[in-house]
Amino acid sequence: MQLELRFWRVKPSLLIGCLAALSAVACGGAADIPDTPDLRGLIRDYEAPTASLDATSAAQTLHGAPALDELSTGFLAAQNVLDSDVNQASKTSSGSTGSRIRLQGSIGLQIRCPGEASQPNLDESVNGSISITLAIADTKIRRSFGGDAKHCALQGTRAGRTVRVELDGQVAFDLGNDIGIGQRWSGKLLASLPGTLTVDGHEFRSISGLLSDGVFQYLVNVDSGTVVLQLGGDDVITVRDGNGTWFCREGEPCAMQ
Amino acid sequence: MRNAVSLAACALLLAWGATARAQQLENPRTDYTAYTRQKGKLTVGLLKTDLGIIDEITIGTYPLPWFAFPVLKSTIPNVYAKARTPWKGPFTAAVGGSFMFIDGKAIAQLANKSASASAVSTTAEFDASYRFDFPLTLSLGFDYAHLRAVGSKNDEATSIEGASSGHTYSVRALGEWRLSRVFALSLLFRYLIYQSPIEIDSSSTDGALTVTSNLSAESTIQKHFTLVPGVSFEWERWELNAGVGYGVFYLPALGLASAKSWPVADLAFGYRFDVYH
Repeated sequence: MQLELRFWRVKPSLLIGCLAALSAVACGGAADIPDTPDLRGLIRDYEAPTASLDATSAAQTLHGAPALDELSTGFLAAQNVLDSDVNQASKTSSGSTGSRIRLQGSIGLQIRCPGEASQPNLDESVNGSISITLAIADTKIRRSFGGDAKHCALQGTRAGRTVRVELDGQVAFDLGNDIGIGQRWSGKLLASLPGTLTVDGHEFRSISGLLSDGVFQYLVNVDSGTVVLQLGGDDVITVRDGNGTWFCREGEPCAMQ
Repeated sequence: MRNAVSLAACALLLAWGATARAQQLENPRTDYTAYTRQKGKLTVGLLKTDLGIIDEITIGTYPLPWFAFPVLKSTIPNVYAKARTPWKGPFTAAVGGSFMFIDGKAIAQLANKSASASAVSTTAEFDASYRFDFPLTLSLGFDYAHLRAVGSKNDEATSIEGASSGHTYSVRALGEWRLSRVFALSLLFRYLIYQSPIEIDSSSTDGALTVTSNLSAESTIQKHFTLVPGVSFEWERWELNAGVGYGVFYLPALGLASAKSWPVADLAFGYRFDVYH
């Protein structure tokens, strides 16, 4: 009986300390979910531009914009690289999941860029690389992710010929929606490139672009707000403002439709 | 006549209690309790083999994994030990632990053929048993299990190169009511306090892409309770503990808990003999 009493003679503070330490250990174990770039403002700007234009200012906006076909080439090249790699990451992680499993954490992708030649050269010292980090929460790849490009050379196609596309500096992407592990990406891509994008020798700095269903859109800041330029067929470029869409053709005045 | 019957019944109960109690003291059950084997006593069983080094310390192993070579292409070495308090009396406390190494070849056989990680399982337990005046023993225990997989750096590029780990905390209570020297009824209750997400660090390279993941996986339907009623037989040389119940299933030796509730079987048997005195 004496021994029993000794056994139970434990300092309450020590007991509480031990229990607290135990619970702290017990609550650990879940992998950290990395922060993702906040592109909500940019997404809003693309969805609902704010400027109010007339035919003249729409034409002026168009004339002041960079060559959209060059930009489109650069963004399509980036999309092609991400297309296979994001889907590969989703597929790689799917082995750990089931309908009753919750997955979270991070997936780092280190992409050795292939260069512009028809035969890929995966030497990083020649064609650079991109590192991106995907955030996984509730068994889904979060739609936004960021990374860093180091003189990443890609192959682009412009007017039927192969051109060099190079990404350098920070990159941030949005895939349109979260992707379930094991599912494929729809291909919608919003990119924010605070660094540089070089297409066929032309350098663009601190730009963004949206690729959706193979159509390229470009956001322009004007005095009265934002507008979105979009490449259409038959040499038509549309200018979308807060009131509607202007259709502009080379040599003709823009018209609201 | 009535008094004689009462006296006989009373004597029978006392005798039954005395023999049952004697068995409790001589060969107490060591699973889920704070009790250990007596000094020099070896119990050999297919599922569990242990030896009382001294009265207070028992070491043992799970034999089946040692003989897993034909199935898993590798043997699984494992050992466990338990030490109890030295004092005599109704209350006994014990600490125990186990270690198991699972070679990568065995994991490749069990799971993904391309996986090349090895695993180390460690468990720890704290037990407290109280023997009441009548032949009832109540044991309370706390179990901790940790499983860690460690990969090799020389593996194929697409195999697991990182580590996985998970830990499990559970408590249990075992009541054993010895009805005779040979036979006892038991009721085992277990509660899974927490099972951590399994952490999976991996790296794979495929062409231009290297994927490095730091992920954790956890069940969204984790169950917690297990209840196993059973019986226990203690013969002169043989012992058998068997129970069938329902609830969370704990992997033998590894201590990891199933997410779902299953019918649960609990079985231990062995042949006892003295190696030394």
